[in-house]
Amino acid sequence: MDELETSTLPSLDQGLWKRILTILWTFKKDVLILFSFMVTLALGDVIFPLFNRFALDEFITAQRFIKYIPLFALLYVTLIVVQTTMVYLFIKQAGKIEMNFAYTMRKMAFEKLQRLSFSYYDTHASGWILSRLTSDINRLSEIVSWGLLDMVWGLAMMVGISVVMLLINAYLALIVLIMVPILYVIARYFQKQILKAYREVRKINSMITADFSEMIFGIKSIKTLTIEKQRKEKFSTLASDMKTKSIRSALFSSLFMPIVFALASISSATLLSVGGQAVLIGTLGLGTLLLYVQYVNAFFEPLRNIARILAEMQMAQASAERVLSLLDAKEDIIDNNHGEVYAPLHGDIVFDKVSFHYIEGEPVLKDFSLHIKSGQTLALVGESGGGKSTIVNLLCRFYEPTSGEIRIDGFNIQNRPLQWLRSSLGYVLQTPHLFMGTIASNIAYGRPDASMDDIIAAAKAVHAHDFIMKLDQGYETPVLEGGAKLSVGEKQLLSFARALCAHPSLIILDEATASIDSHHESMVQEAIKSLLKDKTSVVVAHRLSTIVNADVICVISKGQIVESGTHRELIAKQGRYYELYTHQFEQFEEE
Amino acid sequence: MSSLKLLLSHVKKHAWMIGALLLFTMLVVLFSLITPLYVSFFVDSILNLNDPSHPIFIFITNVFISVESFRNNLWLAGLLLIIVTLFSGTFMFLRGAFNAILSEKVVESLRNGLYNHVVSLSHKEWSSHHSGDMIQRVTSDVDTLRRFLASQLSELMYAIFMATMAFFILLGIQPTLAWLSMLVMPIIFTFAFVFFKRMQKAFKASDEAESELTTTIQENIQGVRVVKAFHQEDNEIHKFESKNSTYRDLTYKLIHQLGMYWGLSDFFILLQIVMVVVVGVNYVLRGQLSVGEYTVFVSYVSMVLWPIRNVGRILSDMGKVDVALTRCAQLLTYDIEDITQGINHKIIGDVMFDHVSLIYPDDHKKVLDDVSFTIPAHSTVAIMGATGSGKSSIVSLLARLVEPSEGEITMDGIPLNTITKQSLRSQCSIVLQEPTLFSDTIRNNLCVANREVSEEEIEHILHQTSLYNMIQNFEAKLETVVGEKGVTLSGGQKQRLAMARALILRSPMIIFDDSLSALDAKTDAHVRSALDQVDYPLTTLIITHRVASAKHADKIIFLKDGRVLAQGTHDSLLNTCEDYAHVVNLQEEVHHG
Repeated sequence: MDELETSTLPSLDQGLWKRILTILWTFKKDVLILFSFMVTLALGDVIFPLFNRFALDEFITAQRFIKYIPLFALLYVTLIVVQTTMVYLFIKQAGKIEMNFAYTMRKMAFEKLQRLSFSYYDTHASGWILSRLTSDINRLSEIVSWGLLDMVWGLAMMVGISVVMLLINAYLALIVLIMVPILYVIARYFQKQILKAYREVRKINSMITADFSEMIFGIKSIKTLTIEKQRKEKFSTLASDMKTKSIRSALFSSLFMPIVFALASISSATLLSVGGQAVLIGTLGLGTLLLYVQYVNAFFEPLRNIARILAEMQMAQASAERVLSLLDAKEDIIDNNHGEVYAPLHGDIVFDKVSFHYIEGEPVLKDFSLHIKSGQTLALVGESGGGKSTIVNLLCRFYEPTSGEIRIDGFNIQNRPLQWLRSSLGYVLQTPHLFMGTIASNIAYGRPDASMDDIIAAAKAVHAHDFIMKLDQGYETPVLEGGAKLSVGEKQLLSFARALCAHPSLIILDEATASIDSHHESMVQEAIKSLLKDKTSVVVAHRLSTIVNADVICVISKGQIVESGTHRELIAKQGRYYELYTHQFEQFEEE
Repeated sequence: MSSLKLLLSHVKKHAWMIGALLLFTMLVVLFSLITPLYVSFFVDSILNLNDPSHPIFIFITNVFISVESFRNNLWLAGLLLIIVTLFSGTFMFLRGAFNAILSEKVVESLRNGLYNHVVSLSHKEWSSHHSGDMIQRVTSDVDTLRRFLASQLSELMYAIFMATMAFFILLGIQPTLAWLSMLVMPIIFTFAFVFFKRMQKAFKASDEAESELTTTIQENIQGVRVVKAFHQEDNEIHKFESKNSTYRDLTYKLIHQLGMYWGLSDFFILLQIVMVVVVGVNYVLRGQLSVGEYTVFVSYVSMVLWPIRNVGRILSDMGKVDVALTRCAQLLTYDIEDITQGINHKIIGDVMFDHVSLIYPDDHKKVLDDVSFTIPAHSTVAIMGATGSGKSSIVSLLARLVEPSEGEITMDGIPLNTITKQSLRSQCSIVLQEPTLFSDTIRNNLCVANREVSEEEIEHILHQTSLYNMIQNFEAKLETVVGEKGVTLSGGQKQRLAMARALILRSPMIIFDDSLSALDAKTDAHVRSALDQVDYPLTTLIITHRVASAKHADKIIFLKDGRVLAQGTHDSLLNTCEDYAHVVNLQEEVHHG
């Protein structure tokens, strides 16, 4: 998380912001309305002191227009009503923009995620992706709504005040305006320092959080190693570091304001001396002098925020960069979906000289060819890293081959819609992944319109029905948070049922039995038997019994088939398979 | 412990700093109030030639500079303004500094207190509370308090000082108008307080919608394989869409209401200002108020009212601080264990379980039921059984993470519960099934409990655990950082590092809690043979479900459903225990088939 506030770009990147603003521009009507609100509001803020000046100069000093005081009050109240309505409206409007922008960005990012292939997920941690869709988009939406609002208001206010001051008395106006460049330089300096200190605080803060969760998740290790004392010491060093850095950061921030005030007071003091002289000789009204004193404070008000806003913008820029990098990520898998309807696939699979690498220069498969006849069960065995899982990943089109092609029923799968392949796929992973929801909704995951009868039939076929019925709410029992506590074996049975419920014609078991202990073994074997019945299937093998019954067994090593045949044939051959099988079978259990 | 008591216990040490904070806040307020008074003096006395009416300026004109010299040297008047600002600026800085020091010190002490408590929690507590919830308490709850101390507390002080001091100054100038100027104050305060109290629900709804949205995204990312394999991208988008729009709509509604609040409260305040302007003008016209005093009233009204508006919000927000503190206080009530209570005993390794049963709290099922066995010193004993047979509970009992519900365990003839947990755990090295490596270098991970080890010894142990080559392949060798921010290790590599970490301790007893079986057969065998060759007396306990890891043990204890089904050597169990023979068959079918 320490990349939280770091932008790879030194200052504001125009190209980046242009893209963000283009997205914002889809709400141009709302944005323009917000702008008009802010300008109106700023104008009101400029006018208010003029009322006070009028009261001082006319009613009090010159004692004129006394009978118009009620009218004056009425006008004043009208302006107040306008102003406060503006306040209500601009908050509402900025909120609307913030939420719509966040909604749209999040939607774009989520849809993008659904299209990205595994190569993206392989190289980006899930926590990283999650932060892009949550905190980064939040920060960005905040700056394009509230940050923009602050800027428009501040600018309009400063321009408005400058114009009025220049119109009334250019000489006095210059006394105030001369401070602007000085303040700008100081604000820039503080912005840098504050941002730097703030980053350090954020970094150590994330270290503290990490250390704490490491302790909580590793408590058993800590206790059994009796290293409580060492951990406490390490944490207390972190906590003390956090304290020092936070104080440093706070000192910078609390130094900034007094300096702005001091500068503003130089303006005010000059105004009092110069303007006071003018009042004494009668060339300036008292109300005007006090108007300028009031304007000085109002004028410096937006400047006070400038350091904060610039710092926020830089953080938002870092967020924008990361969100855009997600949106720009290359989509490796092009879905050739033009709406044509194809006959459902049977499952005659051909790998034709397929090559593949995850990392350039490290080929995993090279000119790999293989034929699986419709209805056959193929088992892949071999050491880990040999390419078994890659074959399965390519067959599922999680990745595209770098050369060669994969044909199902004679058609290159790249030329068909993804949906054609995947809607016929039943896939079971090594570690079962369930979604929030009920047992039933998890079984029906691949076919949301499945009837309750279908769901129960699937569960029965994989022998999951009995344990489901023992749960408090049967099929309606929620899983995950606050739901049923299922063992890994039970969860795996649910994923078998899920695969079956999707009515697949092609079944893939990717080390699906690895996490099941021998206790559940026989149950799972039965489940697999009914799952594989009459279907083309590819099994990355693990348990002996699954392999023994396969129609073809391929021993895969270094991306090549080193042996293939039935169990009996391969045993008789006394080659590689026989060796694996008799002496080092347990090696399959290695992850 | 109540939330207030918890806060006080951490603030107590820094009581003087609160005093300093109060003092500087008061001075800041005083000096900001002086500026309008000074402008009033400037207008009334210097420009309009009235006698100074405020005691401060009577004092200044009498002692330092007369009104006439001010008049002749107007720059002096300006200089005085700058001096006042410099003072108020200095106090402002000091106030900020003390505020930061105070809040950070209090938070540091609270953080350490929480950490030290959580790290000492008893097994019962850490196994029954959600880790996510505990992390939340020590991070975001502590942060809520930090925000309160760092900004809201002093804002509160500021507003209260401002209101009272300004009111008293105004009372001294014109009592009737002073009362009139503060008319809206109680209204604005009550309005803010009630409004934000009522808004809590809307805030909570938006927070919950956000966390649901996050969970949905997270689930999608983690389950990406399933989503893609079942071609459910569109349904996932649909599911996400509804959460995304719910969050948007709820939050927009919230902002909308906030807009109404800010608009209305602004209206009240501005109305108050216009009233002061109109009534003030009348007072001046009737000669009851000087022009300068009039400007003081107009300035003070806004100086008081804007901060007061925040007081209502802060006070109603204080509910959140209270909740956060209460959650921290609750965490501190969780039971901790004392690892130093009892006698220190130098372990030989003779363990006896005598009719031991174990029931975990909140559970009625016996995890272990009348279990008796011995582990002779310097022998190797394996405990086998399926998941749920209770084999890992034996480790928890031996490390005294839990205490038996019935029966007794002795170590070298001494009741286990009289030996300090500290000496017990530091002499029985346990290699857990899911060991934690700390985000640190490999070396620091290896030597985490025993920092003085020679290079040769480390190297030797790395060879024993088949880690040497892997580490040599890392560019930084032993200084390679592992864990979340470093190199990602596979499960087997982690497991071996944990074994090396345990072996480095040269403990008289080593326990593998289903950790050998996570290795491939070859490494498993390698590690076990290394254990046979250590040059110090060692008792080994292997918890496993893999026959190969257990079969060479001096004794195998076979557990089923919490009971000892059989014990003996591999060969004797093969003949006497059907269940054992069945497991062997399943795993080693090859050799017999």
